[in-house]
Amino acid sequence: MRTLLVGVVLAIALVLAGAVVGSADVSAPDAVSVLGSHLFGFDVDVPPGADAIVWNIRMPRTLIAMLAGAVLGVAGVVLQGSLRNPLADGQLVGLSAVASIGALIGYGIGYTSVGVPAGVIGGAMSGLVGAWLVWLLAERTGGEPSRFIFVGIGAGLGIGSLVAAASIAIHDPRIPDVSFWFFGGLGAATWTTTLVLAGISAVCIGALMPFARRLDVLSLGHESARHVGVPVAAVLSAVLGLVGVGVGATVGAVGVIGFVGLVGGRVAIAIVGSHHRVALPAAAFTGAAFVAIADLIGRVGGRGFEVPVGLITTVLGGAYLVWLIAAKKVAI
Amino acid sequence: MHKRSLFLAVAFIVSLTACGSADGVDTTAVPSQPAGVFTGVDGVESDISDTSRIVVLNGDLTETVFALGAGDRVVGVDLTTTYPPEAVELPDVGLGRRLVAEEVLALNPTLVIGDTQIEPQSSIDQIRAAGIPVVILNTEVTLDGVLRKIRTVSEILGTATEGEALAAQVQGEIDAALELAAMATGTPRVAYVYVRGPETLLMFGNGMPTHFLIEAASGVDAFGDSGVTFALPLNAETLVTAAPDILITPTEGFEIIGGLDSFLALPGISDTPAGQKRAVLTFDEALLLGMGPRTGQALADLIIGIHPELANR
Repeated sequence: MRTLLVGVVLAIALVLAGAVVGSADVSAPDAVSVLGSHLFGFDVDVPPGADAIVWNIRMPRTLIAMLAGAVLGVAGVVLQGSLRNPLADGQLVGLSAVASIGALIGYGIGYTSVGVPAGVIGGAMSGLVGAWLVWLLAERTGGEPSRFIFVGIGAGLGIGSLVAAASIAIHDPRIPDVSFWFFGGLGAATWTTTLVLAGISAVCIGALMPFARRLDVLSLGHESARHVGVPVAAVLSAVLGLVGVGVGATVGAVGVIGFVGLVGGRVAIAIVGSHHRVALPAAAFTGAAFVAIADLIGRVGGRGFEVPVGLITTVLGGAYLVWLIAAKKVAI
Repeated sequence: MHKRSLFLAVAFIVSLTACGSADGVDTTAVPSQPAGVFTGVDGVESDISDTSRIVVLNGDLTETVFALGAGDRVVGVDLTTTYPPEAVELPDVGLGRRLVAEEVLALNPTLVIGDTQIEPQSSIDQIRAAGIPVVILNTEVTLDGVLRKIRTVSEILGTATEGEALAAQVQGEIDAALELAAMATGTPRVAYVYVRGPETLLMFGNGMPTHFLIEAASGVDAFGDSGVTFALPLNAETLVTAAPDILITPTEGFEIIGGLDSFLALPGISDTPAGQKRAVLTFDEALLLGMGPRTGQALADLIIGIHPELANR
């Protein structure tokens, strides 16, 4: 209960920070007043422009960062548990890379008519295919975590680079550039994209919750799960499918933001334990916080220029991964 | 996106630095033969004896060469070439700003012309190492620069008569446009948003061609006024702070992102006075940004666009 309270307070603090921090000059009291006027109908007097900057620009950006983080964090816990791999993460298993193929096609075909949601839908569809490939990979590597991760990283880098190369070679302005496919981009966030991603993430995370008990059993081993009557294949196809759609949608909306599943997932488990009933919601909070904090760091990176959010998460996440392995916190 | 704008920013800084020295160039005594030894703004001397097969690496320079009547000597152009139509038909060498030496060498040119935006230097060096002169010109962003560009290109090509005639014609068009601008009754805030696709969105400010055109058209460059220098990634917060009354964007990118409603939906746009009034003007990219021989025409269109009251004058 106390943990939940801390999580909620942290989330609110990050939303407030997201409203206050940015390149334009808006004072903290004005920024908070703007939130108050929209959320609670307060009648406030703020400088011209402040309302638009805080409510229409900083809020969608902050919320889309947190939504993406929540989905990627939950995906991390599900992948780690269901595939019995302590390092599993949407990017490290290659899922984000496969999703980026569909996102790229979505942008190419639908951007002119529907905008960013075209990439979101394309990403979600190919995320589903990616989830199936990840499952196949897990089966083929016979439950050896390190082989699985190595193949995932290799395939992910290869496919991700192929998408990035295609984004240059196709020379189609509808398709986002290389940086988006490796390090994400939150600068183009609007309320529309945020609401589309909010809908998809709510469905994915909501639909994963009823699987919490079966995921607990699955994480003890697929064989023992079968013995106690869990329909392993059916459960895996459902949970991996939901993860694939969720991760794919975030890739379409904000590009590839790395290491969120690993950091969000493992930190959540370290705080609340590995029972999925609590670990899944906890990972939504930790993932959201991780991406939001990385975005705040990126926003103050330089006047006029922003450091892409995925570069920050990769710097932090990479260090965390090295520490996990060097300090023998995980067995691989 | 960041990398692209850095390219632009660096290119323009370099070109502005070069501007000072270019001002001193004496362009009155123009030979009617190819230039012989010509020193580019990069300080490299090129021996220009044969101008029969030219590859041009910037669209505005292609336009200038064609306007000087030397289009039949051009054997290759870069992808930024969109005018005149017969130039677009020519073999392209990719983007001058991502120059690949082989693409140029394959066309067997005797002369290569580009401006300071051409990168990387290593590709320029490779072409020069093959014995082909690569002349690097200043990237002109001002109205004076338009005339300087015409005279410099005609000096290189040995087309002095055509050069002076073209310069006089362009000067006349620019002067006529400036007279029109002087009759404007207000000074609207105008912002140029460069759009190519979902991730290629830039704000053009001080030091960009659009800055000088907007100011010449009796407008205020809203981004420049808000401290934006050269090209920066579109930042919604800066856009709202700049508070433009009119937005200008390239036609091609505007159509790619899905037209007016999609443009207005980009972050920050709907929160500007221009967004609320749906006051968006689109201009052919090469026409407005090229600072080529059509600049007088572009300026007149811009003036009428931002001062509708002058349309019948």
